[in-house]
Amino acid sequence: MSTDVRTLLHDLAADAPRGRGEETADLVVDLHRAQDRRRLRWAGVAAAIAVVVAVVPVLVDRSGPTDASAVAAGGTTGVESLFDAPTRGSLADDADAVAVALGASWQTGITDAAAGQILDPAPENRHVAFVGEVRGGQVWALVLGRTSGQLAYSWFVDPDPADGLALQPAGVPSRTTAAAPIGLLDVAGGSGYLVVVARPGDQVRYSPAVTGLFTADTTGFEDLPSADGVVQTGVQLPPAGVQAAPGISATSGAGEVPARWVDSFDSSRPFGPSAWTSVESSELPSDPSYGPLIQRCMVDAGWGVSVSVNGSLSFDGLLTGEGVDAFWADLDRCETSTGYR
Amino acid sequence: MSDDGFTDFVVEVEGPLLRTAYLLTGDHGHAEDLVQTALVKAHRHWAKVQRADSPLAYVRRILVTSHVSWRRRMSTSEQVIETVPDRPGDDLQDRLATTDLVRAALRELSPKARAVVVLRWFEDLTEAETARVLGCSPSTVSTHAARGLAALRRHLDATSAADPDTSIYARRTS
Repeated sequence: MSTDVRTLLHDLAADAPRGRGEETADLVVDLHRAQDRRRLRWAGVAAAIAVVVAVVPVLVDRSGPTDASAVAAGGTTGVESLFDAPTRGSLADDADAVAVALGASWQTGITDAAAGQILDPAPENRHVAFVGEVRGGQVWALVLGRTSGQLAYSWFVDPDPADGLALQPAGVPSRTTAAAPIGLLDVAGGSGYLVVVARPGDQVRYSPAVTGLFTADTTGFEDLPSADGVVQTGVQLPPAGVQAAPGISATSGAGEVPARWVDSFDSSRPFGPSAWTSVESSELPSDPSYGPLIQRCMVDAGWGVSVSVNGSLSFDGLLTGEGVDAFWADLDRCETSTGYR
Repeated sequence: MSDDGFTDFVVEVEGPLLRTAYLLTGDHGHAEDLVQTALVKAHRHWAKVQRADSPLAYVRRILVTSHVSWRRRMSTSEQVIETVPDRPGDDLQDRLATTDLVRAALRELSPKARAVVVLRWFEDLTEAETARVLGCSPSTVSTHAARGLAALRRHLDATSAADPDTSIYARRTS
């Protein structure tokens, strides 16, 4: 069996993606220079949700039935990539709204966020996958773009479009792949409201509490009512105290696209250059004294850091861009003072 | 930070890292993200990586621990699973079916068990070396390895029983 496994693994590895060499190196250097931190939106959002749910033990759909009527008709099944799918949403036929979405800035304003700086496709390489009215009269838009050989997306929101549509980023632009559904969850008031954009004809599934992405276990996932591959509905949020986050998947004739996290934001809070952020050092537990030593130094500097299971230090919390820079400055200082740098 | 050999290093190790990452994730996009994450961390400590006995082993360790850790799995806005990529030619269908079975079997394993299987039988690391990479004891590696192999066997046997035409063993001996 061991010999078989070795052979089978090498066979499977032959299907691995090809590297881009110098282009990858440039991308990595850009990422590091742009932002020496890692944003874990969902880790923070899950914590925020836990607080909310502690006050509201049972979260139910308060937004009424799916607003399928708001989903523009049209579209075709069999589209390979979401990028090539028609624009959907109640404003899909509004040329002005689509133009505003296409022209919306992908810069998040959260320092020089790595993804935001790198994933900023030229307007001619963008496509509006969704633009429409959602709960509370807000307008949301999902824009996809191709840049640096990557397919990326960004969600935009105008919480009060009465004075003219002005879309702001609801998160940091992220990578995606052609078949993946993309969701945005508003957690305002502890009542989850979800929009998912999938390929026309795909069935979207949702779980409020996914703990891992790489298992075949889809327990807890349930079909969401959708029209033309678009979901607009109220959903449950994760139960209190559970370190898990909402996830979505999609099924089509070609099979299931397993779960991925949904992005989230809180429309009841002011938009601005702050977000739940997690930063972590890259040190590994080769030296078991690293964690305790650096942790002590960082705590003295005012950072309530913890030591992750892989030995790296981490901090989860609400950080501005300046806060992230301060974290890394203190970490550098602590590593220097303890001889690790 | 000057390049200081980093580009050459990436050109040299990206392929091997992508293969390991692909086995760990079963997905092209996520494998690329995982490698990218590991390389960013390596770049952050490039001087230390250069001083390592094996810079590739150092970065591979970053890659594997990044994958196994909860934080990595929570991070991902970028974590997406793709379907099997299309490949031209009917003569490749058998191999595609086989690799798809193996990919599905690997997904049945926990991230740590999957990492153990990949490190032991793809990277050909010893139990002790695997233990060092994962930051656990050799006995833990041994346990994961045994369970991982057993789970793979169960999955592959069950698949073969359910659909003899796709038997992985039949394909490999035909």
